[in-house]
Amino acid sequence: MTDFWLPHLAFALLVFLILTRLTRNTTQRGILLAGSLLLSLVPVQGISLALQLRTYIGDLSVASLVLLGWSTLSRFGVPPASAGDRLASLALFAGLAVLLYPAALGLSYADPYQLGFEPRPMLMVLGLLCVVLIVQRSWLGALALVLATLAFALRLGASENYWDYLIDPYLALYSLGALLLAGGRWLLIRLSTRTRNLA
Amino acid sequence: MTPTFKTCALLLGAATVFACAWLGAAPHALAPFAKQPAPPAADAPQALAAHFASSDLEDFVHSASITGLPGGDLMAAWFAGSREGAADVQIRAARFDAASGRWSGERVLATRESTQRAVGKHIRKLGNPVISLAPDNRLWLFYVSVSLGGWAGSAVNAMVSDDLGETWSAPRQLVTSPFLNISTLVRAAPVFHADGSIGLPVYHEFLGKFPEYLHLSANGEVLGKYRIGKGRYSLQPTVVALDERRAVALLRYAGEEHHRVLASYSEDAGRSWSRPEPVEPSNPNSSLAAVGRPDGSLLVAMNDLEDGRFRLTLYATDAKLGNWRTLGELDETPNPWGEPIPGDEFPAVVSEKYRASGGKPEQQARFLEQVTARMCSAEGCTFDYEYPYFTRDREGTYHLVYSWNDMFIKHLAFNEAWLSERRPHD
Repeated sequence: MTDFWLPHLAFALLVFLILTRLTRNTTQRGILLAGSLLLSLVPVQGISLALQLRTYIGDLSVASLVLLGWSTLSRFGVPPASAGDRLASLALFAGLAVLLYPAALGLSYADPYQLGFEPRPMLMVLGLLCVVLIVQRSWLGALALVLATLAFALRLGASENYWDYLIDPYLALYSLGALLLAGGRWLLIRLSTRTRNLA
Repeated sequence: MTPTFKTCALLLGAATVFACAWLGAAPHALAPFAKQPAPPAADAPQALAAHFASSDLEDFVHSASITGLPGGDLMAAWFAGSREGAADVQIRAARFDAASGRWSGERVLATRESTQRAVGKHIRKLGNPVISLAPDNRLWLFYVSVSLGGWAGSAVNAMVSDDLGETWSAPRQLVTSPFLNISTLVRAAPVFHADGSIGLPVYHEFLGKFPEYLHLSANGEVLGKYRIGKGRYSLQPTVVALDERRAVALLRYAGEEHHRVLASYSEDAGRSWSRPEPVEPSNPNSSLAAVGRPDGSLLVAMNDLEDGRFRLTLYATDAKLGNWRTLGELDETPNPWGEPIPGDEFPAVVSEKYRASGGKPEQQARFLEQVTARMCSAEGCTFDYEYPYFTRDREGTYHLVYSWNDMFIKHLAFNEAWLSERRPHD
């Protein structure tokens, strides 16, 4: 497990967050979290359940793990991220997703994924964004950026590429989807307010 | 703790983390390409030898690669199993002993199970292997594995041997793609840089089909990945270094417009590549192989057809790819249009080809049974000569391996003297 502790952590957090609605108090949640971790170690067809899941979903980014971790901690009493904080984080990761995926999948000769192998320009831009997030007290986005950067500096994952610590397709889809929903909701509220004012 | 102090402490902490990452992420320049081995002696007698590198008669074999070892020995690797994409496919190898002039028995280098254990993922199937001796005498094996879906879900694994193939490291999966690390495949020979780093031609097959140049350190860490083409129509680049900075990549064409080999150039040791353009020879969406010659020209082995893989031809071309000359057919079907031959003619034809390829007489009866089952149908019997792979060893001999009717990996060895006796024609 020591070689693959990040997939085990991802498995435990995902199982915990899926099943946490079945629990009633902090003690039960603690048992569920420990049980999820143990479940991740159960071998199936030669490899652990966590690694079986990894086969199908790939490696989650450290930023995703931070979001899952924060969500887990909030089940144990840590205050959840504020709406503004959440929105800032979603905007950040949606922006990264739009910059990375279309071109990386072959839409252009320029490959933004290469930037992650020589990431000094990215570190400069994301470092400045991190300062903005800290000053604005958007702790969730700032923590995700700092821990992803720390994990990259220490090469805690299998990848040599900074992007792989920052974003994954699930975080990209979630951020874009949540932003679209938030945008749609905002538009609906504006339209209904205007209709009410006209009436 | 005041809010201002807290913010300042957090800013300081974040700045430290980003500064550490900055210091550990120094940009790396691509070193010039490593110099090619010295030209062979001019007075060597002409030599051509044919062997089968594989010996198993039961399995489907495909996608071979070959590398020279010190002292004139060789090692070849290919994949073998009940069929392409089957769960029982293994990466196998054999060693050619220069003293005896014989290939050894087959040896398994990697299986689905050994790969799964080492990389921590379920593995569905294995695919193309590439074996190559680095200038520091470390022997590298790169091979494709698929965890999910078809070949578009591939990843590249690396193994290394410090004792010329006697023992091997556990495989390690290279992370080369931001999308679940899927869709990087390897097929052609790596190019080495002067600092020992490795340039591995790779390609992408998920949603699009395009070639790339993967740059690895001498220890196999991924340093960069540079795009050779984009879109959905080119794959399996074979890269030849022309001098210290210039290289050419020849590409298999998978589109519906040109049906020709595509070519792309780099002037900066593989960092940037020109837009791929069609060149003269036809390409029926099949793999091709190229190798550099001491005079700066290229040898290219390919199926120069618009359809089918029934003929494998050797070409010579200048480095600008403007003057292509055929040096003859390396293997071909008796029917010039590739049409199936009648089943009653097949045994005599294929047996003659088997013997000319160095097939063992004691295996001929079993071979005939197997090859008939594999290549014949109610319409007749066909021939397939495909997936060539070229290398030039340190003594200057050229070695070509390719899939021979999916039954064997055929090995041809020849030298410059043999090439000079060929009669090129346009």
